[in-house]
Amino acid sequence: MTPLALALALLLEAAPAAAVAAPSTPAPPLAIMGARVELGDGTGLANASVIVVDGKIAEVGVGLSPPRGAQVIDGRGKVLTPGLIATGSQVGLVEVGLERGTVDASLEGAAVPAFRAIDGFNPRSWRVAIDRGQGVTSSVLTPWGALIHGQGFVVELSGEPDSPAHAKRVAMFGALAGGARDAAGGSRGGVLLRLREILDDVRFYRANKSAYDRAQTRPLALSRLHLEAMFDVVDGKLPFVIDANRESDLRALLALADEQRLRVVVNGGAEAWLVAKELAARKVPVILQPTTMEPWGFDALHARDDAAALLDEAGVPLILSSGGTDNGTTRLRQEAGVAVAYGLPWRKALTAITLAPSRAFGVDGELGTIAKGKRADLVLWSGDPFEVSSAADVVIIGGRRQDMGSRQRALAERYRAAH
Amino acid sequence: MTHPRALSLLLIGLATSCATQPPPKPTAAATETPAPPRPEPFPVAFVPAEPADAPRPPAPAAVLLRGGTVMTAAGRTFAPGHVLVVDGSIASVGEGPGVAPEGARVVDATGRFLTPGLIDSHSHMGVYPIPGSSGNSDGNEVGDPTTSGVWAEHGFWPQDPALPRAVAGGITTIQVLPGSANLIGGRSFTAKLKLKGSAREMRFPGAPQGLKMACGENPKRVYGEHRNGLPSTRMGNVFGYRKAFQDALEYRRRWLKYERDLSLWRDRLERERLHPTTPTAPAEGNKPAEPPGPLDPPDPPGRDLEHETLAKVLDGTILVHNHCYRADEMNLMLDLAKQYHFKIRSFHHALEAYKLRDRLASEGVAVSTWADWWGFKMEGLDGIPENAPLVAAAGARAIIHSDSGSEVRHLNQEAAKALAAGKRLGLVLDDNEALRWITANPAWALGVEEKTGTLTVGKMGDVVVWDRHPFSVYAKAAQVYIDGELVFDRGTARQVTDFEVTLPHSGDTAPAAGVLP
Repeated sequence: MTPLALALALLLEAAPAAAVAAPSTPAPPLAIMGARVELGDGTGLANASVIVVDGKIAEVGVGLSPPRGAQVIDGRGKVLTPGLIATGSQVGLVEVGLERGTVDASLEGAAVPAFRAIDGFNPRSWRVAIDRGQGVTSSVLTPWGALIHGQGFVVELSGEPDSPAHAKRVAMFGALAGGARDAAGGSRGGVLLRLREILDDVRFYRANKSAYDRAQTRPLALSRLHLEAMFDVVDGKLPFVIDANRESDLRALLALADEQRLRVVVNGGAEAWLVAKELAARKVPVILQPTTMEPWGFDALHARDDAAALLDEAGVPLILSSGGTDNGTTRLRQEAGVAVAYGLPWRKALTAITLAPSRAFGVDGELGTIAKGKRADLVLWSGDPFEVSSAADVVIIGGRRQDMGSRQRALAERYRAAH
Repeated sequence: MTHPRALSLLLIGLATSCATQPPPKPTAAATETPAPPRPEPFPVAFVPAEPADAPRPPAPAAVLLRGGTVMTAAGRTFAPGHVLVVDGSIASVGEGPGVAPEGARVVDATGRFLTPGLIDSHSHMGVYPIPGSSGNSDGNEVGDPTTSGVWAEHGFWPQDPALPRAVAGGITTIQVLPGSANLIGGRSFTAKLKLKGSAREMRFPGAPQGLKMACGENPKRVYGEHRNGLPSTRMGNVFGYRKAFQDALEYRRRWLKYERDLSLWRDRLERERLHPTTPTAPAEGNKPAEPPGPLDPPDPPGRDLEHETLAKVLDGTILVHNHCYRADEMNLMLDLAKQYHFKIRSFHHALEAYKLRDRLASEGVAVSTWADWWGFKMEGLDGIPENAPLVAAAGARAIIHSDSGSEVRHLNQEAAKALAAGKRLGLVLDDNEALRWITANPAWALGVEEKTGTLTVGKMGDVVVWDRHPFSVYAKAAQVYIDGELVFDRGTARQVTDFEVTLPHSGDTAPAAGVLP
């Protein structure tokens, strides 16, 4: 084919049907039959079936029959897992990282706890469909920032226009090092000073609200809405996810959490294995990216490849992440596989991308395992989901079978055909 | 007509050859004793010699790896098979246990998989080392968008702790490139990951240097957006390449002219030596008198380090590696290369290579890309996981590269991912082909395909022993050999940089993988 003919062929090609989920209509019951079912809670069933009715998991077990009118999905030879939960994601917030006009993951200012990244979430982002195609059914939207980045939300990746409306606020995000140092005057001591000042002012503001409204208080560290957004944090109700890697930062974080009675989660944790005992004693979860366990910075000099296994052995609640944009969260299952390669038991790795994040972020009543009554977020894999050669064959969110198309897939089909 | 290679010989060879003259050939016309050769005045063309490759260290004892599945990346798989390395080179590859020469170390690789040492065609290890620091960031000579005269080798920090970690991922050879801030970023070098105290000692012996060029957004952003200078558009980018190559063509012409004049002058010297009394050669029969030749030696043109690099590109002795994402830009660069009579050896990143794969195949241009790193900027938007497989299926050389001191540690997984994507699209590809994306094909791109990249008799003894099939996410390199020398033995020994002397490297010694229960 000449270049001109090729160009014409491409131009004349029929426009593909819109790959956007149809508006909500009642979904038929589903029956995934005969699969190896990995529940996400550390157990599994061979030759088992899962029945989905009204968007929820109705039954899980061996020897079940599909209900009347159910759409039957043959799971034989395949592996069924809970939908994966991507922690640390900016899906729907960042379309093209270097194009500022497409980036809504951060708000200017050192500490912006009232910032709700979900308000900028775009369910039609091309990345939503791509992540979903890799078995990610929910993301923990994670804002970027300096000292306090804002609130994180769990959002489903159905791409439905109303999906952000169902998103749940699950955490506050902040940092102890990196950009936090610069924002706090250039040293770690400054970061802790600023954090203590903010936490103190949050409590002061709550106790002196009416005086504040009459302008009868001293100036406070943050403005009104930012202070209010921190109430659940100082009450220990909302997890405070802190970027921290160096051992000394992790110890400082634990001391701060003890002192201020905060519920903290470690994000990064390159040297967390050195603090594993203390983290386990306080049940502080660690969000870890296994493929980055090398001395990438001076905060990570003691990183080691078997960090995930060491943390798990010590009893630390472990969450695995593939980081944020660029690779997107398409590598989440590969991260789990690498953790397994370095000693983490396989089922613990699955838990670390399903149940563990749902538990850490308080959505385990609905998500994170294949269990009766939970939302039917399921993925049927062609083989071991951690193997890069396997693929997600079927993705189900809220009982609905998802469209597996994406912009990438459309391009691949278009150019395969053009060849 | 001067042979195109002549200039490079001139530039490389003069420092050693200008002091010597070939012995005079006896001729029938020589009736008297020739006068002694007249020394050439200094400098005819003074070009300092570049430091030579390090001498080859003594070869380790022979090693016979037997019992595993041998994936040669040359089309054959032997299960079980063997690889024998003698004097640093592969002496035998094939079915069965092989024959151990006397004194050879025999390694039982039963149940394991043997592949060639992996090659990362795109690395900034050493020039952008870890831990990230401003003090050790030496990969982009920012300040001028064209810095053809700088060499990655001169910015390479051999104590980068990413290097031994790459070896633990089965990497034995890397190309270290300058970054992509510049249109022409400078010379790359190819290194073997037998760690030494200097870049020179780590050079891949005999490997050609490369030239890093960059299309698209990076030079635009660095100079236009950040410095309010040229280039700030793709128009400016192309102007920059054209200007640099035009200057190089003219530079090369000056040198070729000089070389011709020098040769005429030498001819004259030679005639004078043979016939001291007759400064010009007499006419013989009806043959006209030869031109007398210049009296004085010609003045060499000034040496320009920037133009010299591009002149070597024009000669084909430096290979062009072009960071370029978009298909339209790759097309444009191929046209430009044709215009200026040079070859692009490989495009790097090349996320849209699948859109012009037929041209890449027919023009013999390799494509270094990722499996699924895309979309971080506009020129990366159309990246698809099937890129490398589509390029391969069209008959071009596909390469999976890392561009990362972290991703380089699992290049095998990246190749596996791309292979799986290609198969899902219905392309006919096999393990051997995908293994070539991280071995034989990058070897070709770096110009070392005769020396490494496949398990073939006569090539360097660069071998990885994997604990399971290398395309499994659970696979880890158990042993890595470079030139037959064991440089990594999981759980037992690995190279340790000075930077790491007090740091843990026990991660490299983790137990064997668990798998799906």
